[in-house]
Amino acid sequence: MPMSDKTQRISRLILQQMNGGLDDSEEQELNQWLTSSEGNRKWYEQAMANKFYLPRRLKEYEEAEAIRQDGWNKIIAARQPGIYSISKRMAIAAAVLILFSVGAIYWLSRDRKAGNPALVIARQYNNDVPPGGNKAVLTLGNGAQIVLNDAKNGAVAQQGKANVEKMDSGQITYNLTQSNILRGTPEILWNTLATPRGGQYRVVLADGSKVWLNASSSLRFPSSFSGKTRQVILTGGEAYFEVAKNVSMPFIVNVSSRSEATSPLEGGGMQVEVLGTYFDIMAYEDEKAVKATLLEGAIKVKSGTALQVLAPGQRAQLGLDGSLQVVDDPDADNAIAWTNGFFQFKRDDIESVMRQLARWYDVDVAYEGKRTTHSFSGVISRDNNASDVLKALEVSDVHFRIEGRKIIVLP
Amino acid sequence: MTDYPEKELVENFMRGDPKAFKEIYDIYFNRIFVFAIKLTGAKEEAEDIALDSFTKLFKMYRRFENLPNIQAFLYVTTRNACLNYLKYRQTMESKKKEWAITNLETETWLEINQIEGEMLKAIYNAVEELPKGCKDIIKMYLEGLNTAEISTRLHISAPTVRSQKRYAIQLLKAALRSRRFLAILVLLILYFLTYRQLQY
Repeated sequence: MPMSDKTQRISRLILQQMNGGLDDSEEQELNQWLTSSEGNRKWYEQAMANKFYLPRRLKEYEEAEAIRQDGWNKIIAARQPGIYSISKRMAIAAAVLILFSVGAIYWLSRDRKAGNPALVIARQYNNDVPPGGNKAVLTLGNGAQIVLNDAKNGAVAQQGKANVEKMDSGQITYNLTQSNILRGTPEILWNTLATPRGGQYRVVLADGSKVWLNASSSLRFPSSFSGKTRQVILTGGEAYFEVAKNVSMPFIVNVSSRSEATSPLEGGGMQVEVLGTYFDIMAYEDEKAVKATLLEGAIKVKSGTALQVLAPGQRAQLGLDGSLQVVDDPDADNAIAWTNGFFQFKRDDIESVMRQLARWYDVDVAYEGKRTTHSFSGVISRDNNASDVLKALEVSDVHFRIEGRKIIVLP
Repeated sequence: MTDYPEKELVENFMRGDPKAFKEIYDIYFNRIFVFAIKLTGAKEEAEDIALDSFTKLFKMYRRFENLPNIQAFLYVTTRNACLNYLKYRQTMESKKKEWAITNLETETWLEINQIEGEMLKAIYNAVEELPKGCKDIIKMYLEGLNTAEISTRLHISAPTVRSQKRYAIQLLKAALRSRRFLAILVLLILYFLTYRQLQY
């Protein structure tokens, strides 16, 4: 079966792009393919959301290739008389599931008779809350503000040597243009990209570094970089950085507090210095610690006089008391699940889970009755309405009520 | 994989030809397996589920009239089996309070995953078609190694690593151009044929 010629071409284009070698006409061809179908575009966005995704999937595909022949032999063997199923494990799994379901139904119906309203499974919520989306406001050097969700694709502004372009629904790019440089506009303008609660956005800075902003986050950066270092300021929220390599000009993220609230940032904040690397910084005021998680490369984290160097898979935490700690994080990938459009929890407590939901769905959270002490683990898409996420959480002995834009957590 | 015409393949499949079964299996196994890994995160179970989906497909071979139908059946069957497995795991590990439910039910979601399967296959093949030396280097780049790491691992100099990467990109570009060239050639030939016909 020959693969379609188009698919083959596009695969080569994507492969070139991953290795940084796409010229204009090729980029055009790729863009045409992306706009030709909603599915293509959605898949591409998912696949390119972070640079670890496709390589991992390809690795799995390679493993598939290695076990394919063996798998075929198993299918053939299973067709011989005497062997019922190739997957006894799955059959047993199904049987156990049925047993448990029967047990659960019995148990639930017994409790219903006893009048325990908390155990009615098909809970209906009064109203639902839609998920957040690509929303942000860009503040230019002169203080002018552009609401990016409303802006058309294409040129948005010119700032110093850079043209600011909106690429698609969720990204702006700072392009240094030759003509701007020649025209001799030397000034560097500081811009601020800020997402509201329920928003997210991406920006490609003038040096090619990419930054993903999560909900309720704000990043200040210059329209172009000059001098010995590249400095940006994360004034609260969460951002994932893929910093373009430039050994002679380290990239420094200054993490500082947005308000006077009691937050770990009060004592001067944190500084992260990098050469070229991939990492996530979470600095929400309502979190117990400011966290910098490193996925690849190396970063130096400074706070006051404390200095720590992180290796990939490690996380630096700045606590409320101002202490700077380094911990190993075997699930460092989790920290950037949001850039792929997922909530990913790993033994998180209910408060931490609800803080994330509050930011993405732009809701308030209140607690009634005894708070659950369970920890939550799992993955769920951020495209879901709030009710779907809550239903998934309810598997774990916790219940919810939605009242307008308020979620009430019940025992 | 042979250049088996699709129609003939499906006809043979509907007749119960074992060769066609194997052919269909070879076309789709890898995609279905990686799809199941994506959902379950467990390789052994993903293999079982994928193989089970093919066994089910082969049991009802008469029902499918074209490859898209076969593909859709494999994806839906696999998704359902994965969901069952996840529910089972949830029950078994209820003490750990695990849950893993995404919005798996929608048509678009399935479509996106079918596109992904096709693209993974194409990208994998495009890499495999590269000559040995630069293929290995591109694979390491894809795995996230940098030039310095690749050069230590393969005992070759960093400039060689970089030039092999450039070579790979050139080859990919050349493959794209040759197709474009071929298309233009076909158009030209067609044009001359029509032109000659008009002359007579």
